[in-house]
Amino acid sequence: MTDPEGRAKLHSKPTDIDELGRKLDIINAKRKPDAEPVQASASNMAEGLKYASEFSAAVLVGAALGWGVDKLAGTSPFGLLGGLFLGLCAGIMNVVRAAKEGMDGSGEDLPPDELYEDEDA
Amino acid sequence: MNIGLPIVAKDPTAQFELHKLAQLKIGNLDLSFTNSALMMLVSLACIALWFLLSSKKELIPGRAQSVLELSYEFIADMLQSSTGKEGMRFFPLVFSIFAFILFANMLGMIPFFFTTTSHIIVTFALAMIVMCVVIGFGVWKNGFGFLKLFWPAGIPIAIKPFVSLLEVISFISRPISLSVRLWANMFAGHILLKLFAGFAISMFAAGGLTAVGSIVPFGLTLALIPLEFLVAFVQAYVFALLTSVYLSDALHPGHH
Repeated sequence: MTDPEGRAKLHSKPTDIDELGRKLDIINAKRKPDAEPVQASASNMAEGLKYASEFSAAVLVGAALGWGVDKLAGTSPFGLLGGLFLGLCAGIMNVVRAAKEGMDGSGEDLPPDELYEDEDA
Repeated sequence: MNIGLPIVAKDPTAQFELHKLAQLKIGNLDLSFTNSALMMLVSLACIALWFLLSSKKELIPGRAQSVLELSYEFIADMLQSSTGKEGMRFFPLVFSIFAFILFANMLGMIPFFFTTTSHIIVTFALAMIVMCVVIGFGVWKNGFGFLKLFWPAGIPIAIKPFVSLLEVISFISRPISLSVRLWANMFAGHILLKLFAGFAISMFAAGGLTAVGSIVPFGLTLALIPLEFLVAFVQAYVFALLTSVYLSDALHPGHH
């Protein structure tokens, strides 16, 4: 009963479409600032874990390789020491590479959209 | 069957315990069906259901089909931007890994559900699949040319052997860092959630002024939950992204 009536009213008023436009504008304005602070803090932890894992993994691998060389060649402390040193270097290389690649290496800081491409330039 | 809520609430690592649901032993190999395996099957079932729901191929997609098309384009764009056109042959692998990790992470966010990806052996196995494909395909396609990956161009010959040694270590460390990253994110996030929720419960139970103060850990828990959902998605994406970056090494070695 009210439905056709309401619809009829909606069509009869000339300003209704403007009203709707204004309402939509308000809703759009509300929607724009969306979840940005959450994303920032989420990527902070992910960022930290990224560098931590890149660095520590290389150190672990270097130390393991050095230890393996020690086991095979019997050069007891020196292989481990050299391996640790090499692992440190590789870890720093990993971290530098991850930081340099930034978006293509990890991507958690930016969505992969072309939207953000102008920020790089 | 008392779950023992106080104990569960206070021990933040109890959620990661494996329980055998069905015994299965082959020789010395313990192949029992655990809650982790169950959750893997559940995530596979969810993915299968998702695909089935969107298999009608309507011109105007429904909800499931629309999400599936979006994720297809999302992963396909990512793969093509990091590996180029010929990388699309790896699309099934990358999409499977993405979907599996995403569903495992997301299902882990449901209370009382086990998070498969919070066990490092699971993430390490996923990373090893990726590295095996990278090495296997790289050697198959490039032969010895694959070793160019460890022989970087544009570096003085005097320090080249040293740098290539570093490259080898860096390459071996990839599956470790790949798996540790996913695992640590899920593990730390779930412990954090459990800790704050446990604080809220025990502070509320203490009564008095402490009970009023329990609003703080409760609020933190509430704030952490959407964050964890975000991390669950982002980590699945990062894993897939790194997979495609490593695959591009297999396709074009020496492009550092």
